[in-house]
Amino acid sequence: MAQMLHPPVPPSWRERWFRAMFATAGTSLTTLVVLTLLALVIWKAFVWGVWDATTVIDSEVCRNSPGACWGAVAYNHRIILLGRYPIGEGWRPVLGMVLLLGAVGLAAMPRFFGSRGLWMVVAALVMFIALLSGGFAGLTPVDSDLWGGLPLTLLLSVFAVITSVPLALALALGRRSQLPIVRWVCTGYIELVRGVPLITVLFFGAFVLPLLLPASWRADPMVRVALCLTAFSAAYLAEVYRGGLQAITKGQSEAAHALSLSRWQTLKLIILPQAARLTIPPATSHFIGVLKDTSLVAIVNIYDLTGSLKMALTNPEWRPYFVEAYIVVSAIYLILGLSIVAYGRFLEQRYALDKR
Amino acid sequence: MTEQLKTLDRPPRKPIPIAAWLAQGALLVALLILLGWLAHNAQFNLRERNMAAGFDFLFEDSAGFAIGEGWVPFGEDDNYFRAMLAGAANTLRVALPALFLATVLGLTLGVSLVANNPLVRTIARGVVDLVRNIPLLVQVLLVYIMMTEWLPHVEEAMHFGGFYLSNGGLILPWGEVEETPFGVSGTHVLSTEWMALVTALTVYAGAFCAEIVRAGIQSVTRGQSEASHALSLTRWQALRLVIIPQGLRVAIPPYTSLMLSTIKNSSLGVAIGYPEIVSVANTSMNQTGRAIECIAVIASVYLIINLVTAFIMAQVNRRVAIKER
Repeated sequence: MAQMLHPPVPPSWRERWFRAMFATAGTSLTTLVVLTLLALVIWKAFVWGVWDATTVIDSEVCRNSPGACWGAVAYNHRIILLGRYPIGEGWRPVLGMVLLLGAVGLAAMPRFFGSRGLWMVVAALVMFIALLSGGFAGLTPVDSDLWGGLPLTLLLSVFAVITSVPLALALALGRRSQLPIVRWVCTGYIELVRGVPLITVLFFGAFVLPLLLPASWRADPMVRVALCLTAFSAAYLAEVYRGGLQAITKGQSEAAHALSLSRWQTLKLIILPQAARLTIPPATSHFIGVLKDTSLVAIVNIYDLTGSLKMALTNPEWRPYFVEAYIVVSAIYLILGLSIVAYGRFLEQRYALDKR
Repeated sequence: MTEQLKTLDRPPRKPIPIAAWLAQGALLVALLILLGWLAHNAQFNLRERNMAAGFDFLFEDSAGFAIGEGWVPFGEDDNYFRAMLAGAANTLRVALPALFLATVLGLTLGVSLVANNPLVRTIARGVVDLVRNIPLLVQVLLVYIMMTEWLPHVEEAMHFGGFYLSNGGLILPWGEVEETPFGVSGTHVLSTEWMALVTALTVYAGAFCAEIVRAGIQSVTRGQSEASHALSLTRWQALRLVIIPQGLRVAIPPYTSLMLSTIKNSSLGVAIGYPEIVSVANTSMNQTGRAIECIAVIASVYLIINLVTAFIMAQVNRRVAIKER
C-alpha cells in the first residue's frame, strides 16, 4: 500500500529565527557580535535607568548618584505636561484632553465611521477649547498664551488634521480641474507652501498676517498658529489625495457616466471611496508628520509639549538631568505616533481588496 | 479640405462651457480683490506704525550683527543682502554634509532592514521606527543640549591630533590655531550648532532614507535575485549588478523629496541659533521690521534651491530610467 505523504510541517518562528541567525559562519559571527553589543547596551541602560537610579525629588541626591534622576521628571512633570497653565486649574486641560482622546478613539471605531464620529470629535474640540479658555460657569478665564504642554500638542494636531482634510480635498480636485484658472490657483498654492519650511509659514502667521489684516481683526497668536498648521498640512495632504485620485482609472468615471450618474455622484460614490482606500498609507504618515510638526510652534513662543520641555530645562537646578526629561517626552510622541501607525494598518487590512 | 486631413495625436478636449468660464472669471476677480484688500491693509498698517516697505534695505543699511561661521565671510558693516547670502550659504553648508552622511547611514540601515539575519532586521526596524516617530526638533534640541552640557569648556578642550573639541565647537588643525590660558581659537571652527544640526539631520534623514532603500530593494521581484543566484552570482554581486540598478529607479523620486525636505528641515537651525537663511532673515526681520520682505527672501532662496535640486535630480533620473529604443 502506498504510503500517505503529509506536507512538511512549517518550522515555528523560533526555529526559523535560529536557523537564519546561524545559517553560515559569517552570519553566526554577526549574530554573536550583535547579541553582545545588544546585551551591553541593555545592561548599561538598566544600570543607569533602574539599578543606580534615584526617584527622590532632591537635586542634591541626584548630583551624587551615577544613575538616572527620575526625580527631575517628577519635579518638572507639571510644567512639561501642562506648560504654564495656572496652578489649581490643571484639571481643565486634563479633562479636555481625555474628552478629545475619547472622542477620537470612538470616532476611530468602525461603528462610528462617517458623520457621527466627525461630529463627536468636533464637539470634543469645541468643549476642549471652551474648558481651556474658561470665562463661563464660574471658570476663571485663561489667556491662550498660558496654554501648553501635551493638551496643546493634541489640540493643535487634531485641529490641523480635521480642518486640513476638506481644504486638501478641494485643492486636490482643483489641481485636477479642467478649468485652467482654478488649476493654476490650486497648483500655485500647493507648490508655494510645499516649497518653504513650516517655520516660514509660522513666521508668516506670526509677523506678516497681522500686517495684512485690518487693525481691528487682531487675531490671537494661538488662532494664527493653528490656521498656519492647517494651511501647511492641507498643501501636503492635497498631494496625497491627488496621488489617490490619479490612481483611479478613467474607465471608472466613464462607466459611472454610462450609468448616468452625475459628476458629483461619480465623485462621491465611485472615485472618492476608491481613492480613500489607496491613500490610507500615505495619509497615515502625513498625520504622524502633522503630530511631529506641531512641535515647531515652540519656535514662535507657544509652549506645546516640546516648548514646555525646553522651558522646564531652563531651570539650572534640574538642567543636568535633561536626558530623563527628553526620554519621557520622546516616549509620549513615540506612543502617539505608533498608535497612528497601528490604526493605519488596521484600516489598510479592513479595506484591502483581497483578504488573505 | 486640408484641414480635415490633419491627424490628431490625442482626442480633442471637450470645450469648457461658458458658465464655467464665468465662474472662473468670478474666482479670479475675487482673488484680485482679496489681494488688493490685503495690500491696502498692509499699506495702512505700515503707515500707522511708521514703517517703511520695499527691498531697498537689503543694500542700503549695514546689518549690525555678525555671522560667526560660514563660506561667505560676513562682518557687522556688511549689508543685509550679504547677510542673506551668508545665510543661504550656511543652509547648504549644513544640508549637504547631512545629506551625504544620511545617504550612507540610510544605505546601511536600509540593507539591514532586509537582511537575512532576523536579529539585524529587528534591530534596524526598531531604530528606524524610533527615529521616525520623534519630532526632528526634539532630536535637534537633545543633540544640542548633549553637546553643550557634556563636552568640556573651552579652557579644558579635548585635544587630539591637532583637533580641539569643546562645547564651543571643533577646531580644525588647518589655518592658525592659537592656544591661550582662556582657551583655544582657530581659523577653521565647526560650531557646536553646526555639529548638532548635522548630527540630528543625518540621523533623521538617514532613517527615512533607510525606508526608501528598503522599498527600492523590495520593489525588485524575488525572481531577479533567484535568477542571479542561479547564475551563481554572490549575494553582494546580485545586489550590486542586478538589484540596485533596478531598485534605483523606484528610489530616485522619493529620494529627491527626501533631499528637498532635508534642506527645508535645516531651517530648524533657528531653534539653536545656527545662522542659516531662516535664522538670518528672522534676525533681520526683528531689526528692520520688514516682515513681508524677509519672508519673501526666505521663500525665494528655497525656491531657487528647490529648482536647482529638482533639475539635477531630473538629470539623474533620466540616466537610471529604463531606456526603451
